Amino acid sequence: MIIKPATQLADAIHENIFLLPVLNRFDIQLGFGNKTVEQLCAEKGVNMQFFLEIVNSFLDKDYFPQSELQSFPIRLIIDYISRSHTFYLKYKLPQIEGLIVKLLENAEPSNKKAYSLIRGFFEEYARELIVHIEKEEDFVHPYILAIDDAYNKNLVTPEIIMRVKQESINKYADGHDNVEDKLFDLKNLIIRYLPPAADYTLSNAILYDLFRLERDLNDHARIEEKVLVPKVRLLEKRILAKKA
Amino acid sequence: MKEPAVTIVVEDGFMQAALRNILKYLQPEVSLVFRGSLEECLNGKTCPRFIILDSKLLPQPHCYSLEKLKSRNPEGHILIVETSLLEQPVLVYANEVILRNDTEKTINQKIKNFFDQASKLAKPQYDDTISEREKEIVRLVALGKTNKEISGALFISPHTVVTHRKNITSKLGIKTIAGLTVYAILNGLIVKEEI
Repeated sequence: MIIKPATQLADAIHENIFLLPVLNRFDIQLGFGNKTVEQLCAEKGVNMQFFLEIVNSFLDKDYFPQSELQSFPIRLIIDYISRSHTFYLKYKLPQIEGLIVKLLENAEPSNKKAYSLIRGFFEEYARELIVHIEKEEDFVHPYILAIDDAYNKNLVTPEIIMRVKQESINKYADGHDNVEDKLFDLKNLIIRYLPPAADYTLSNAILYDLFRLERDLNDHARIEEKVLVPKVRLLEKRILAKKA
Repeated sequence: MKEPAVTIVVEDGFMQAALRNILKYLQPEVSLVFRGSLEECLNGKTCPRFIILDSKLLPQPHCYSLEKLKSRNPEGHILIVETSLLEQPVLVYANEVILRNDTEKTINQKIKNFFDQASKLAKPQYDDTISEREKEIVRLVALGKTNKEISGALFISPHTVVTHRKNITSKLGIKTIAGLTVYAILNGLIVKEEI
């Protein structure tokens, strides 16, 4: 299913429930009746082309008309990425941690040790993800917004040029790997090696959440790598050309 | 999920009632099967996971009877209720023994231990898909050794270490050192204190 301006958003949700958190990042909440994408975007002041690209790329990971996405303001992409960061930090990680804590609390005495190892492993994973996100929020995004602003306002000062040379996006382009591997391991440890929980619904819930988180993070990384980074590279090139 | 059945070998109505009530309270999930003699229990087609046995019904020599019971049902967990004098070595065969002068509190604790201990033994099967050599390497990786150190310790080339590690990752589905460490502890390849 490809979402179009005339698609009713309710149909899109029926197609794939995992879209929900994506919609939340555009401030679209449930209860939208039969409204179409076009109507909702107009109502919420959301750039519809951008919305369609994000939603469709989420539904089909091969759907990625880069050229179209390239035409959106960088600010929109940064804003979307920041909102997904908030979703991971404020909701997703605490939610999964809460489930793991519950698993540990309800564990039979003989399983406590194994479950506390998993808890430790999850915490280590969460810490790494948080550090990664904070680096982006504190350094990468401000840098991108600053050079974008300077370029748009035609204020390419020597300081900006210096920053482009020193902070180039290429430095940040690669850095997800170990965090991704940890999530992969966490899933496998629970699926393959952890003693079964007395309350299997808890371990199921943890796995569902980990898979959902992974899916969301992959989509997130795809937007960063395929949309944001090339766009910033292009911007950097233009800024350096301007100087010459 | 229904817990496995407990076979209770007792003769007296009083003991039957007492055990039924204690278990209903402590292990509400388990279903109970009553047998009047050990022979009846041994002749059954199924191998009960839990056996609670009145010592009075244990033919002498006790050890011989218990050995026979164990050989018929190696996975079974045995709790003996001492109503007649027991030979000391039965403790080797029984997982728990309730003594005649135990207090109510001790009895409850022993019954609880008996079932807990059994669930501990029911841990997931040891993953034997990796070879002894690979286990040794997982162990060293988990202890924080580098590929170079591992190659030195095991007298193999660094290249071989890398190959082993690739195979380990694909067999176990674990990529990171931290993940291998958790695996190693879960499977008893290292103890937490070693790290």
